[in-house]
Amino acid sequence: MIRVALAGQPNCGKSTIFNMLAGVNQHVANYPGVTVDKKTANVTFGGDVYELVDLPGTYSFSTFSLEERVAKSFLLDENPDVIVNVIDASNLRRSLYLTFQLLELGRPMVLALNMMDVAERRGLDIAMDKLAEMLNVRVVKTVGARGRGKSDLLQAMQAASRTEIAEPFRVEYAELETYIARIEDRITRQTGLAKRWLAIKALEGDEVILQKIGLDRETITDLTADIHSRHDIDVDQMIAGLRYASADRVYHKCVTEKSVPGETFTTKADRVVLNRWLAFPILGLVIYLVYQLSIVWGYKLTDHTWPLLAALRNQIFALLPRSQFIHTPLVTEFGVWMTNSILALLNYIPIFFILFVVIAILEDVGYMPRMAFILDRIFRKYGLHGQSTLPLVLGGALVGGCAVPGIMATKGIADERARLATVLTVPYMNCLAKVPFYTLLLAAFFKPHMGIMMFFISTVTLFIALILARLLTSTVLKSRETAPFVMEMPTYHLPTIKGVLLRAFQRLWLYIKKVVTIVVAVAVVLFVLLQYPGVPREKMAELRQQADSAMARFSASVQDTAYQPHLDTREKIYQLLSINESYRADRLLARSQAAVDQLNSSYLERYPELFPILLAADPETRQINRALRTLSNTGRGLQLEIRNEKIVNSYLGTLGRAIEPVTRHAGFDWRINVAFLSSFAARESAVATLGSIYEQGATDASPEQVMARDGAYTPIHAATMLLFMLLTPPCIAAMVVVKLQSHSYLWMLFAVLFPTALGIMLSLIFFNLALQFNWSGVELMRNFYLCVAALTLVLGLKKSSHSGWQVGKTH
Amino acid sequence: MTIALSLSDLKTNERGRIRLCRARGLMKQKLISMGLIPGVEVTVLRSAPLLDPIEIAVQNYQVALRRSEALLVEVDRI
Ligand SMILES: Nc1nc2c(ncn2[C@@H]2O[C@H](COP(=O)(O)OP(=O)(O)OP(=O)(O)O)[C@@H](O)[C@H]2O)c(=O)[nH]1
Ligand SMILES: [Mg+2]
Repeated sequence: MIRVALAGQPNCGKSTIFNMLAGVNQHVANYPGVTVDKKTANVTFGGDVYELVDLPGTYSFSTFSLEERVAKSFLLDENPDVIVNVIDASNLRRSLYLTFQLLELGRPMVLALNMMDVAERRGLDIAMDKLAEMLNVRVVKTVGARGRGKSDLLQAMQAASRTEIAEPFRVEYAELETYIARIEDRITRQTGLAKRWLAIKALEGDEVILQKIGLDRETITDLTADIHSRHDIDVDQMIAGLRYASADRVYHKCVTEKSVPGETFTTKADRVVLNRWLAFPILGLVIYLVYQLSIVWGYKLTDHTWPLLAALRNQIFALLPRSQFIHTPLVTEFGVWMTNSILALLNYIPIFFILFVVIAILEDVGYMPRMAFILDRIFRKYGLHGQSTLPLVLGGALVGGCAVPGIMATKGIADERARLATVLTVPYMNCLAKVPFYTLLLAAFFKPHMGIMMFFISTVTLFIALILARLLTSTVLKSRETAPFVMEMPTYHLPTIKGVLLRAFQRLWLYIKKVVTIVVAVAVVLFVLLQYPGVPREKMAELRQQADSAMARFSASVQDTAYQPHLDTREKIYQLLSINESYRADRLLARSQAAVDQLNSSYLERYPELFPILLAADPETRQINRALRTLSNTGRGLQLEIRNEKIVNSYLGTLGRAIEPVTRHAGFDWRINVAFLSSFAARESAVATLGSIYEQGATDASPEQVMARDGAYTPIHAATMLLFMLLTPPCIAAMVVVKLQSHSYLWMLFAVLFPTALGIMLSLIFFNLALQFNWSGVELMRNFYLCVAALTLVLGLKKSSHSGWQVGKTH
Repeated sequence: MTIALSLSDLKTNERGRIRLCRARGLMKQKLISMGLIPGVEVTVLRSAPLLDPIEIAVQNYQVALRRSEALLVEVDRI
């Protein structure tokens, strides 16, 4: 196998070239310890197997940023057989800066001149032969976005893998050559790397290399001091200057600029996009569009995809053993629980897919860095970064979002401290699945004030996030690595459909793989916690008694009818009940009259004896149907009671009651505790659990009506619940992503425990203040809001000691 | 020679030549790898709507940097 590394400066199209060569056949690996993905794929060409590695983009070859560390350690430690240096041909001069450093490594190399279309449009004529001769490497032209140059590149890779480099290309370092030679003489260790390259890196003061070759800093310091006194410039700057000068020479020999470059599109566009007065409206529009497209329309799309999932669910349910009136086999309960948990997540896939597509487009167009440019000033005050904007928006800074893609989008933030702070604050944004819970409580308790309450809820989260970011970055994250804000503003590109879809699918797949597996595991645990130890024996006996008498009543009512022979045993009645249930479920999905007719005839074919009862077309069947409905209602009521009893007695129920003495002071009784506890698996279940605890028998009232009527809670209780829900840790899926992006279980634990503790504390305080001062629920919320907003403002105005980049600090 | 002027002092559309870079460590590397080294010409293109950061043209491309970083780069106005 021949190992090929794709290296190059950021945004030159490495990943595009990688995708072009590898197609969909690829494997995304997470590099341990760093935030950057390393992608690999196997490609067969001319009988050889090539392992391609897509490295993160680096401008240079020092080891200061994470990306550079990944790229560098790969090139040094894993010794690829061929390096493919991807270059933005429209920006050749700057690209050569890295190319020189790669060439000095002395490994077989291919130069891929990518973005040839852009270069041609700018009127650049690049003499490839001349370039190949000057640099002594193979040069290929490619247009990654259009898939052009694939076979040329493969051929060049093959040829390069079969040659040994006898004399690597040399940049002339003029007066420094004697110093380089002096260091070269001192290198005695065998490292498998070109000595000259090691010597140059050592002279630049590269710690990693110094260690590798076993020289200490003092030796180098003497040399650099000597150079400084002679040339009045630091060695690293001098080396860089010489490299740029070399690049200039190569550029002028190989490139002719056919037309004088006029004003580029990027310049013109930026005059509008970054205009002092237009920048914010445009930014607002973009954010609004992202939100509208993915969250709002995505949500609408789920209306259409949900029936598909529901049909799938019915099919799975049909495979499970039938329940026998009130007795449901454990397998069935488990199957139903797992199916529901997984489908609840899969239901969000349309939202995620659109979101990933939109992000990919924004990334490709080049708007992301502009967004950071516009907002950096505000976010920096709170320890965040201009690039925190998008993660916060996706997380739900506007009414609703999802922390999972939000946290995943933090990957590009250059500043490690700000990145971690963003990872830890995105979960405070309003998750979409919290919205049903809010609506439930608002509808039950705050009908006339819904608008203002919703406003409080949706804006307070951003303030909370800013405050916490500021607190975190000035305490626990204080010593984290930060990075200077020096960012290239790339030229605008038109994204390609293929590239965008490919990336969106890759991310979606990653999400499904990582998140769904964990959610499955947690769902199992939760099932056990809610299922055991089960209903007490006496209670169960009592319920069974009731079930038996209901059955007896039904048998009596079919006694003298024509259907009696088909319903003379318990099993037959059970069968009728389950046919009834599956028919009702299917019936709900049938939209048109034609669909209903088709459904009816298929049921009639399958159950010719019993189905007429469900159709209830004549007086006799109508009578049986009525009796059946009573029986089924009683059964459902009893099942609910069993479920209720199970939850009350379950481990989770016991826990909910155990913490009641504490939570009572915040107004939460055990039922709410259980709801909050179970909602950790997925937000949706908070409403579901509350619903099932509150459903008393088979009433038609919705949970909010039952809650409002129940009398146990006042609007103050409800407002406190809302307050707690605002702060509660996100679901387990979000926590998994926090772990993925922070690479630490400790941070994940922190992300769970801190908001919970904070939530309980604030709930306690505000609940008691409300009792003390006789606030209404709305007043409670408003006062909380005002406190948070004031604190945000104070922190924003206060000069922070570390808002900027700290000079001279490296780690 | 005039008084030391920093990159942050240049106004929009003004040009300067980098004289000295006072940054160290990571910051210095970052500036070097973006081509901000002594002797190089820079043009200030604009400042952000909130006045910070600024965008400059250097070595034929555009770079955004915060004023706190730009303060470390000394320039001669040209
Ligand atoms: N016009 C044009 N655009 C291209 C070409 N190749 C890639 N692009 C676009 O350039 C942008 C950046 O491409 P990527 O492949 O993500 O660049 P990268 O080098 O992997 O970037 P990093 O991983 O951030 O270092 C994308 O929007 C591509 O669609 C090309 O040949 N011509
Ligand atoms: Mg890439």
